[in-house]
Amino acid sequence: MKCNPLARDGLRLTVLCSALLLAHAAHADALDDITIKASGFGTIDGVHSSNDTLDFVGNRTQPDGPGYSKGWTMSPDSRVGVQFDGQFTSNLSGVLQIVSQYNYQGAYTPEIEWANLKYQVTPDWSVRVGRTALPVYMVSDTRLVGYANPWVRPPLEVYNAIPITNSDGIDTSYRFNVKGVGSTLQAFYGGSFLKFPDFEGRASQMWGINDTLDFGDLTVRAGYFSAHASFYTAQALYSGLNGFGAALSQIPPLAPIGQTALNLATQYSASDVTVTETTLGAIWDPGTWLVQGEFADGGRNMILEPQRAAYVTAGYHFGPWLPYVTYSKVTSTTVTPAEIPTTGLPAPVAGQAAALNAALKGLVQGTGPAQNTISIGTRWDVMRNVDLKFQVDRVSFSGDSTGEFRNAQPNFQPGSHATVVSLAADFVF
Amino acid sequence: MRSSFIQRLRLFTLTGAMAGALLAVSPAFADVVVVVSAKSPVGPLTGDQISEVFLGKTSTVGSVNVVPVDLAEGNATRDEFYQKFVGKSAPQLKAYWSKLIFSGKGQPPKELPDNAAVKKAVNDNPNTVGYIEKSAVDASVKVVSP
Repeated sequence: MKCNPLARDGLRLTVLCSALLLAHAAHADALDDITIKASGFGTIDGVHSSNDTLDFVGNRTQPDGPGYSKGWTMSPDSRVGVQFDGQFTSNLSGVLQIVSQYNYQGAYTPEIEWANLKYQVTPDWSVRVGRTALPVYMVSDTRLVGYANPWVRPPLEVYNAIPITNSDGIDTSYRFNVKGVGSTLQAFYGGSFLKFPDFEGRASQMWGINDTLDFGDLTVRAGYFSAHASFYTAQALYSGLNGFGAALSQIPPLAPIGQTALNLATQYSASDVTVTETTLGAIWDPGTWLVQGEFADGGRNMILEPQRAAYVTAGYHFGPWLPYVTYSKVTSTTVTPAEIPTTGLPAPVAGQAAALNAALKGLVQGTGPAQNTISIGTRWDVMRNVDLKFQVDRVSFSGDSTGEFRNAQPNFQPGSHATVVSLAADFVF
Repeated sequence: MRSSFIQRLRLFTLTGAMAGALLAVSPAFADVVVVVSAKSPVGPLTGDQISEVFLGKTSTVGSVNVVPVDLAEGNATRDEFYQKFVGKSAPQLKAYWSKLIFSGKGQPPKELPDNAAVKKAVNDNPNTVGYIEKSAVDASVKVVSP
């Protein structure tokens, strides 16, 4: 098996690849039985947004998109993924998935999406070690596989809340039956890097548990996810607040203001940000109708704003056609950070305080999305392994929010709308 | 009068035989059945059990291990099997397996080219279960579908 340690994930990936190769070598005597299957998926699409005061993006790691920065563009959802599944013994298998999509650097650099070893302890209980898919929402595992989903993209109001797609750690899955109802319980623990256009960070102590109940045509899923998030670039702001506060504390008349700055630094210290998601979802898919919905309650603190989101999709299979309608919405609790009072400060110092206040406000208010979308589209299974989709989304922004969009310009009107049109082709091979 | 009756009877029988022959060779009416080896410990399966086994939702029936095998994609018998027992069209089945393959949760059954290959596979391993055209059933296999 070929391994290609990519610069950013160097050490960790080398370890993973070594593990895979070691497994391969350890079972050299069973070489005849090792099978490696290659498969893949992809999407090519064109997206246009009617509102040119801000950019539509397919996920929060993309730096720009159609709207202000671009006209018709393929960046939101176009991607290619290649997957290698290796069966080493009857119990040990491994998977490597590499995906190329529009990333936080505005490039399509291939990244290792998954690289893990799976051990089947019993036919119903498996354990995976390495980089696995992060299973927060119902179709989180396959959010990148257009062919597996009815819509062009999973409703962003729900799916953008947790913008990480994988976890480096351990994951386990146990399947059992309760009175004829299949139940699959999954739990995981790990960490991930956060790479966004504006900042980088780390998600640690990430864990989750979810259960999927299979009632035949109806599938119901409930889950809980928790992580600690720290943002490296926010550290600069807190250093600034701490420095400012310490300096002012040395000057007796300004000491109280200095203390406020120090308190703000402590209060909003990004290393204490806890992110949770409590989720509930269901799919009813008897073969004719398709009805699918999810609800997600996002707990946040400090610089991130709590949010709640949900969507409902209804579609109907007419032969190879699947027209569908979706309504999705996200609301967030507005958090306005306390400010460093500027009255009574000498001009240059007041200027510094104002700058720090603006930076703090920008950090907090940039994270609370509020929008809703009515979406109409259709999927056409035109030939084997290929489908075409046409989707129109009417997005309405709430309050001051720029919703799930970014790069809002000074002429952005709060409460305005955007009509996003997407033409996509998905394929699997 | 008697001879014309017999003539008409013969004509009727001949027409009926022809119609029967047409029905037998017309793919729209070909019946698909689920089979295992005649010596297999796997017993009769319900429609739900068949669906669960072929969708990879379970690997045991009762306490017996079962391993499903498929006919190749595009095969008319395969499409008919999945429509009849699982209620999924070919693209719906593909999307279903895409979800499992690309989430690392499972792989579809091994694909075989024709009825004969399926019969050989079920006889090579008594835990294997496959589906073939009803007309291909012989003494080496037993039917386990309802």
